[in-house]
Amino acid sequence: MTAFTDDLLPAGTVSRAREGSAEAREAIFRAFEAPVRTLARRLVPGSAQAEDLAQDVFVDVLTSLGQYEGRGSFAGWVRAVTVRRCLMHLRSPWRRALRWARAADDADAETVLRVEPASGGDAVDLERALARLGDTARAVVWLHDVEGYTHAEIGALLGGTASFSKSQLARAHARLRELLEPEGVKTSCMPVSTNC
Amino acid sequence: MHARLHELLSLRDGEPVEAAVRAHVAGCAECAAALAGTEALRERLRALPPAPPATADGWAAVAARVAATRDRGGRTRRVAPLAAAASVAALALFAVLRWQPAPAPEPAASAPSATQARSSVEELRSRSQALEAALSALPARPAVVRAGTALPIESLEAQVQWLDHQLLLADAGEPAADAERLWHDRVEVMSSLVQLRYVEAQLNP
Repeated sequence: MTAFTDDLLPAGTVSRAREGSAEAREAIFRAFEAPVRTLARRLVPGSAQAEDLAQDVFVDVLTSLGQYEGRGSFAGWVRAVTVRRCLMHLRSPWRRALRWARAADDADAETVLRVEPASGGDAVDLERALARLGDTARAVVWLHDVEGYTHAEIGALLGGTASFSKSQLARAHARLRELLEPEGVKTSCMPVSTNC
Repeated sequence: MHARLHELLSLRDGEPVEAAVRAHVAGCAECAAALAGTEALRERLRALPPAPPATADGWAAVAARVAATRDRGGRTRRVAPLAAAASVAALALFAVLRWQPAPAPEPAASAPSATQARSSVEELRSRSQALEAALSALPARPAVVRAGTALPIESLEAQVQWLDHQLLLADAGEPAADAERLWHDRVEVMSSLVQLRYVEAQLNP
């Protein structure tokens, strides 16, 4: 899970930021910069886009502090803003048009922007495989398997149902396995939706 | 009959699964291995490292945008219809360009006739003008720009300027095939520029 925790923030910071303290606002940015950037990069392949989105998230957070009612975790609220902002980007007309156009050129080109892995070794393979998933499958596998969202929550975020989220999770796992396993090393017969 | 992948994922996550499926997985080495595979993949995803540190301190840009957002007040609402109209125009143009791909420059071995080249140049020139119109329809660039989009935009604008200079020279007596190549390049660069400016406009409502 990306490290969204209220421990990152000194007590009273959010209240001071709401009252207009520039220092408190900066403290919020510093505390959540790494988790927000990491989550954006996982949901949106293409580091430049993800960095721009991370910046958008902080603008959203710092201009909407009044909407945080203080009932739940502030870190959880920042994470929810990040997820909403990234999903909004993935569903934007621009993003869809670009993916459609590229797909016509290259049937396997599920990633339309250059991906710069943040890590080395095996993790690079996994990051690249993740980036090659379709936008929805990638979002679902990350939100469910890593961030701990339920299928019902993901379905609601994507404007679908829990069943839709489940089928996308299975699709993501099947595709990741395909991408990560070397040619000819296929494990058991494991259909996504049909029997062996 | 082996378990399906979605059933294995449900088993992994402790969700309800038919008793027959559960019993099968308990006694089937292949399904048990596949179940372990789904768990291992989840652990690998969770173990991915965080994003590397940002190359530049982003706080100044965020603070400037927050301040600009507060100053702007209701201006966003007034600009929104224009941005929406520009978005529709850009997407429509994008779709048209998609179905009418720019002709590749002719290979040297089969040099086109002067008439063909002139006709192609005319078509490329009109497409370039359409892209200029789409660019003009987009909202003005934001006061605070972001490196992710600003640098490529500036690079593309410089390329357009350079191509315009080359086209001026071509008009002064270069062969028609050269003009065709230059107009083809200009359409490609302008197309990228419109797309990026559209992204910038979307990210800065």
